[in-house]
Amino acid sequence: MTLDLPRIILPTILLILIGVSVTHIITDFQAFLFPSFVLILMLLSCVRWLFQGEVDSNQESVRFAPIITILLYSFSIPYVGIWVSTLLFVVILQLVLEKRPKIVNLFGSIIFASLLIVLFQRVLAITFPAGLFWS
Amino acid sequence: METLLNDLLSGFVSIFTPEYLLFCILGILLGMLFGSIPGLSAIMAISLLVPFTYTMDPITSVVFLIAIFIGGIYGGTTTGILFNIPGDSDSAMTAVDGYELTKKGESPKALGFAIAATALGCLIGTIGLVFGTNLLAKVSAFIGPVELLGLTLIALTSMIYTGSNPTKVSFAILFGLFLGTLGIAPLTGVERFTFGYSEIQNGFDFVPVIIGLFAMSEVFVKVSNFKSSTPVEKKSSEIALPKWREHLQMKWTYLRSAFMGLLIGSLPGIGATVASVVGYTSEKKISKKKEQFGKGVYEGVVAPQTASSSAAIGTFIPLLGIGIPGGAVAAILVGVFQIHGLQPGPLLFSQNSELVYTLFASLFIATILVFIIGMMEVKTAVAVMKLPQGLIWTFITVFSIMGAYANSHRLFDVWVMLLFGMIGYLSKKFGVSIPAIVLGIIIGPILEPNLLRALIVYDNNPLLFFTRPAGGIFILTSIFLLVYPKVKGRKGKQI
Repeated sequence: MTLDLPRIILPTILLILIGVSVTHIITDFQAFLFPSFVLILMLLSCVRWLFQGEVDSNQESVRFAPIITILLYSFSIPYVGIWVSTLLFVVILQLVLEKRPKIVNLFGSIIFASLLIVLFQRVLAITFPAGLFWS
Repeated sequence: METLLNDLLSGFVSIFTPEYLLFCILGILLGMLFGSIPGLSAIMAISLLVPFTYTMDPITSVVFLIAIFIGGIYGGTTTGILFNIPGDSDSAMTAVDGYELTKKGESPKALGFAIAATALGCLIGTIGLVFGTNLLAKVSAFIGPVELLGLTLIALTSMIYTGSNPTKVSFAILFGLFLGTLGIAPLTGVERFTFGYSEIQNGFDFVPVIIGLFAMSEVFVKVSNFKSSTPVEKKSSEIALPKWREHLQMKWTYLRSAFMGLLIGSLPGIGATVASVVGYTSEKKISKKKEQFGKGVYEGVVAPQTASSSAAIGTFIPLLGIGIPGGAVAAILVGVFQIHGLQPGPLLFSQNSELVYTLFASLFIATILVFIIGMMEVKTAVAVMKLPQGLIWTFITVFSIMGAYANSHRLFDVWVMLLFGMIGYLSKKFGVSIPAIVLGIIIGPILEPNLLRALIVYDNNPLLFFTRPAGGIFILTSIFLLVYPKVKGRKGKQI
């Protein structure tokens, strides 16, 4: 799998943003002058980067993609609070980090993570949003 | 001079409050702990612990974060010397000769020299900071928008100049500058690039951004590229302070490196890593033992460590003197100052002099404490290296998520942190400098309003900026820093 960030994705995003910025510069010169200038320079440096001929291609991306999708999804499940999402994150992390995960280590991490969350709640008086599970 | 000493004395009286002292010690311990774990760094510790400073008063929070930074300067050196695994890039040069000395069985003395070099570098850096910031604060009365514009440009271009890949550093800085433009525009109040999201009306909150870039990105790196950690070799965790005579034999190495480091650190945008490289290479050039450099020589430990320690403190000179951060940690401190409703720069001296002088005093105290705690830290560093990876990364993950959430109790900030974690991961993967992104984010809101003000004052004619001699020189210097490497490169190719 090839992750060709500088060559395809970045210039496209930058061109869209330049389009947005330049459209607005007509109506509000002062507010959009600096961002337009920055975006154009960014595009130029991106093109220079492109000519350096650096393309990244390895198996890391393949392994990373499903894991990050699950991790991010855990934060968007409805009625699941930040506490549970964080613990889910920790469990997935453990499963990935250890080649042969042990149940003891897994529970150890959950308990450790819960203690840290309680520490945060106490020290910073965090209140999780009402209506969510484990709030 | 008398006023300065009186203010400094009141700073010392203030720092001996049990609360400040406690947080100073705690900060050093945490900095050393984070610095000694490969993959973690003092800057990550600062990013993760910023949320804990919300409930503190401004002085405690700044003293705490600065102490973490000081602790981190030495923390990375221990594992570098013992295991050839430097905690961060600043201590990489110290590890070159330090590890060679360990292989010869001379690690206790090498560690002794390293801790002495850290303490002396920090001490000279702090003295330079006290005088340098006072001088800059006085000069700042003559600094207008053109001069500030020129100085911010120097900060950015010198980072490009010293970066390993100027194109990628430029890209990182520009990306940071762009992020700084999100939200309401200065002077006009127009919303920019919010795309209807009210959450980013004032741009992204700084804390989730830095937590994502420095901490969560490292979690993603671990997830994507995890290799089982190799068992830590059994090494002597002894530290032996060299005799006075041995220190005196190296007095010129200490002094040269410290002053060189201070000078490099005080230039905005360069930082401690460059200082350690310059310290090492220049010492190698003039040393009588130049053939032994790289094979295990004490000068090879002292020179880079003193230079990087002194430079690390030096990065605060432009921050406190004129409000322009000299490096990534200084840039994070700008965010911390702003969280507490303070603006670093000359006004801080008149409006919050207690904070400034307590900060100076805390640096002096931290220098002594780093020496004392550093003597005891080696055993802990060796033990920390044996900690299970799972526990370390659980700690980082929970602190990242909770820290981002604690910022304003919004799940949106957790998403922002995860997004910037991804950006940080990709930056590391593609070799794009994260400190450069952070510097861009912080400098953008200083650069843009000053550029606009200067344009208003000089009838939208940038050429008239050069009618201000100092401002003109600053702008020309920044242009020189951009152009010189290219001209030099072309000449090199022709030859």
